[in-house]
Amino acid sequence: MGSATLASIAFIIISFTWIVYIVQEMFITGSSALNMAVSENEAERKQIQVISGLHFDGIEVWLLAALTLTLGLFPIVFAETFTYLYVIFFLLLYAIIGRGVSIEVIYKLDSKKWVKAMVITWTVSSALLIFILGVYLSNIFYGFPLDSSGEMASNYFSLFNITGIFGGLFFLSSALVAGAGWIKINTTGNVGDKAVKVVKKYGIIYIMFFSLMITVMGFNNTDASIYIGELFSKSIVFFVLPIITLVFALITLYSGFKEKGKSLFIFGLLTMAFFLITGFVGIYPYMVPSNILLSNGITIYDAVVSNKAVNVVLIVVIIFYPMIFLYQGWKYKNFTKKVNLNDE
Amino acid sequence: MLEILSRMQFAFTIAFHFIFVPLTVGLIIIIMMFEIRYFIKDDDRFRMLSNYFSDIFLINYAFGIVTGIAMTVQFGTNWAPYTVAMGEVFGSPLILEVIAAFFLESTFTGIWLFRRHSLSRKLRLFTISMITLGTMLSAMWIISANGFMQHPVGAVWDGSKIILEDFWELFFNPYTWHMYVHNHLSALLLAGFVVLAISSWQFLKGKEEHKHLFELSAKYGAWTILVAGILLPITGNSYLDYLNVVQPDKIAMITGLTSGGLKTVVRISFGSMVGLGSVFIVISGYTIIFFKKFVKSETLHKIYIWLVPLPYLAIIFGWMVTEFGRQPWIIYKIMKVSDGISIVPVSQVWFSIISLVILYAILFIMDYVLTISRIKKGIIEPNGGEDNG
Repeated sequence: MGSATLASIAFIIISFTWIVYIVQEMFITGSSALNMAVSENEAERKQIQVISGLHFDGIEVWLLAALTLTLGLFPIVFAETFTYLYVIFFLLLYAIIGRGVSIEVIYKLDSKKWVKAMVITWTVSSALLIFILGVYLSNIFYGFPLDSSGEMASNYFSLFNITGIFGGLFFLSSALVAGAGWIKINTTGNVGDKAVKVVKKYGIIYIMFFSLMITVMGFNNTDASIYIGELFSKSIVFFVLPIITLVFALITLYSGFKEKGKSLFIFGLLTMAFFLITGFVGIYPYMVPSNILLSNGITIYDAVVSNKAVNVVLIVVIIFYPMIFLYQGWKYKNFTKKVNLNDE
Repeated sequence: MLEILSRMQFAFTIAFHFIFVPLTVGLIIIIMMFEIRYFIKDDDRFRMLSNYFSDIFLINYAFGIVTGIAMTVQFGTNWAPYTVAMGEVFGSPLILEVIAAFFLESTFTGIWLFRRHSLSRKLRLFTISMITLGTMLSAMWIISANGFMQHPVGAVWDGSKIILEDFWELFFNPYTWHMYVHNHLSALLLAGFVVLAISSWQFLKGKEEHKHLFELSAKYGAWTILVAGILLPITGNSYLDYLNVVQPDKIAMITGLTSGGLKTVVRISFGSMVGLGSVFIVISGYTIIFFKKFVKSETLHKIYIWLVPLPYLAIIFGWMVTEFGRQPWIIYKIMKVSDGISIVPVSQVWFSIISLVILYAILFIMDYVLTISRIKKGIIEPNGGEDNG
């Protein structure tokens, strides 16, 4: 295979990994962030802790996979974005640490203060985690302020532009929506119904639709669009992707309105998946698009490592991804039983 | 300033991460021994011991996994030039660590944390085996990344960046394998020591009805220390012979041929590690030979509890020899540490280092409190269903 093909394959692997990660992370962080709003006592909270805690470990590794794949396949991209977003990545790290520790140790000490502190940490870090990821990815889709010398023209605060903030809100609200569905599907008793009611009552289903619209339309400081790359200008067919995204978002909205847990979950996930597909297809072949001047951006061809190194990763992915899907699928199938109250 | 801060930050985060890692890597092997006994003999005592020590494992695993991500982030934030120059080669063991090991470890740890009491004997053994396999593979891959930094093979330097030539040469780098075996044995020794100390605490203050269980675990602990303690100097010796060929500078530091500054620290660390290694053999040998005396001796129990920091120190000394001994190189004889540092505003590094220190102090206290309180609760029998209580 030529190096251009290999670079494209590397891009597809990384995009795929991000999508698999975010789509799962949204219902884990979403159900976690809902726990304080929907559980009236510790028994109910434990139901939510179990259904998210059981899976979060294995899911979080998809994030690590996306990051290390970027490091190993496009080292310049990894280096450039991480130094630019220094503070943001440390905040993301702290959210990951806070969520990872709290979710596992909430009930490890018999102290009410401890439980309360851990529950707050769990809730806040889950919400923060998915919000930051939303800000980060929607900025990737619209590009960074890369100037012609390859330097960033403004500091990391530029991330919090209108599109970035609404991207974060879209991630958070769709996480809550899918999380409510996840709780409904996996628990018995009252929490599931309460969760579905909460996302409707507080208008989270509307916020999700609205923030998605804003994000896709791109009210930004620059005239960059989510279709910054070359594919959308080549063929009109690609515009079917954002349309599908919006259709799924509408169905999610409707499911929320009708309080249907299972379809909230499914269509919430599909909306996110298609938003991400739109974004990644939109930036191709840029890994770090520039919103100042398109040609300033770093393409996959500029950044990719040697053919030999891509081949190694490709073989690893071909061998191990099916195995991971197999055992993670097995886990979902066998361990996603309805969790009862006082299931101890 | 930037260089000093970035180096301090990485040293701090990796050292902190390494408080949890050797314990979990070693302890899971001992837990697997319990599970094998439970599986073959259906001896319920081993199920109880496995559950008890699994709780200690799981607490430390939670802290180990999240603090590990701190290093990946820093390769981008603080070591960008290093990543750009070395990503092509350094990236593949990292990717393999995640894809071929981490997934396995984490997926099955989730099951073990929330569902182990509803698993059959067979599934219990399967889950624990997958976690053990995952930890062993993950240690292997990360050490192969370090092995490349110590002794770069399988790649060529084109003047600005490294290019992969032969993946298998990188994989079969002898440096990696010397380090891997030595490192894993040290983790096993540490876990054995912790098991012995926890069992000692149970003899002193634990519930009467469970003391017979801790006699078993004390034996497992002592034997683990002894076996690892004997194998460590043997593997260490062949490691040294190999270093003579590939890193003679380090050998000169160890033997005192060159001294001053870090070089002297290397020599003292090496001597301390070897000295502590001998202490471990004596302790475990004594415990095994005079086991009945040990079970009754409160003095020994107290001593063993107080000696728990020693294996941690030995491991830290070992790593100090390895890492200080290759200074000033980040990739031995190819790239210097000072050339690998990101040019970012110093204020940002101050922000990260201060916030990390505060957060890690909190995490350390949490881990300590959780581990100690779990040790003290002793054996708890589940009522079925979840184990998140």
